[in-house]
Amino acid sequence: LERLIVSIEALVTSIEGSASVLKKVLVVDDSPTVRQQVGLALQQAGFETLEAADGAAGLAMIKTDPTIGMVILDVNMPHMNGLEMLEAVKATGRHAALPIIMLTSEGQQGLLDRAKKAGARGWIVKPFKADLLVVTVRKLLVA
Amino acid sequence: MSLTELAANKVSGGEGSLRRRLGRTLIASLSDFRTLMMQRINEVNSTTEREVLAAAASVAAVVSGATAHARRVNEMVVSIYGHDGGGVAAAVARQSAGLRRFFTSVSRDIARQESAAERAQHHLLRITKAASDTAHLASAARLLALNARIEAARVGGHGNCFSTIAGEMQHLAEEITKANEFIDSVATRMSKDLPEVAESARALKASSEELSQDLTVATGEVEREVEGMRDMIRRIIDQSEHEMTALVTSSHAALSHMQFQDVIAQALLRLDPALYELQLRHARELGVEELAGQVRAPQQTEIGGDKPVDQSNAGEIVLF
Repeated sequence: LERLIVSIEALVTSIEGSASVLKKVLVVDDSPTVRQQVGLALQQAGFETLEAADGAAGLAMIKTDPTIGMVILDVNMPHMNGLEMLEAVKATGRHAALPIIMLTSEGQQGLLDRAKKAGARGWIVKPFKADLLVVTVRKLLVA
Repeated sequence: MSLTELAANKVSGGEGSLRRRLGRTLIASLSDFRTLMMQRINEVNSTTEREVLAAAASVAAVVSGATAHARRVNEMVVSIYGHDGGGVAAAVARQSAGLRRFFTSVSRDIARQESAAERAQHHLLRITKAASDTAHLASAARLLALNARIEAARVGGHGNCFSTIAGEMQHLAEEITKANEFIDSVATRMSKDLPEVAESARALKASSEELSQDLTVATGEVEREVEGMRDMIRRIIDQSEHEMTALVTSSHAALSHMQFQDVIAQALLRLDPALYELQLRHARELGVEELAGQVRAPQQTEIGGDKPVDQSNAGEIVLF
């Protein structure tokens, strides 16, 4: 019985740890205003946010920070664009299940198809509606 | 050579040479224009970006401050009145119930006093009647002693025993009369005091009942006030939550509007690649392809190319 209790406590600790992980969202965008606006909307809803200014920096953060539970990713960025970063993240296998939403002013079907094929979970056209973004993030993090 | 001079046909040479000179001038002018334009665009974008960052930070500060303030107010209200004012209501209800119990107990005690006084008056009447009966008894004893004395005198020496009995009866009658007088005096004093006690108890009972009624009215008013206060607190908390929701919604709307700064900034930056493409086309069309390699490439190009600022599908969310 004691072993069972210890196991349950460990499970509870693990679940609590997972919950805090799920709340951390990485925002990758070269525009400081977009990073700030996404960050504020999510922080007001209770999420913790991290920021990266391009795909290369975002990819590096995902590799080093295991607490990141979700990524909101711009497409057009210097150094490494969002689609390249998406494909690089999914290619690692380790982060294949990490939910990534593209947030971009692009709306071409070809780009959507490429993102979907690479494993993105959604596509939001800028300028986004903050309350809908929060609902979407909450839905994907809970799921 | 300026474009104006070219237009005025003030140059010499063949048509091909003219086109090439025109091409070189046009491409050079476009390069100058692109440089100046990008300088201005970067200035505009930098300024609007700085201002929007500050505006969004201000909005966030307002929301954060209002949220913290509302939270503090709610915490204060809850700490004072309970989650719905029930703390004060419960305290007042407890006080009211305690006071009612106290006055009920007092009224009961006073009623017992009044009843005891009435019973005492009844017993006093019985005592007075008993004293009266005893007085008759003493009178009868005196009469009997007198008769015994007369009978003793008539029979002479043989009546000595009657004379002794007559004397004892006379003495008994006198003792009874003394005792009766004492009882009478006590009864007289009690008959004066007891009605005052009974009247005092009745008056106390009446004032206690009046006070109890006043208390009932007063506590009823306090309870109604407390209930009103509970409603008010519920409304304050509900309104506070409603206003906070509205404030967050408004701040979200403001953040949504502010994103147009980035959309417009990107649209302005897309002018440079468009002009770059125009330069390359002119270089081809005006026969100066060798200049195409010297034209400065744009700093940044977008995957999807140029697009309108106000897109019809802006804000659209597609989940895969």
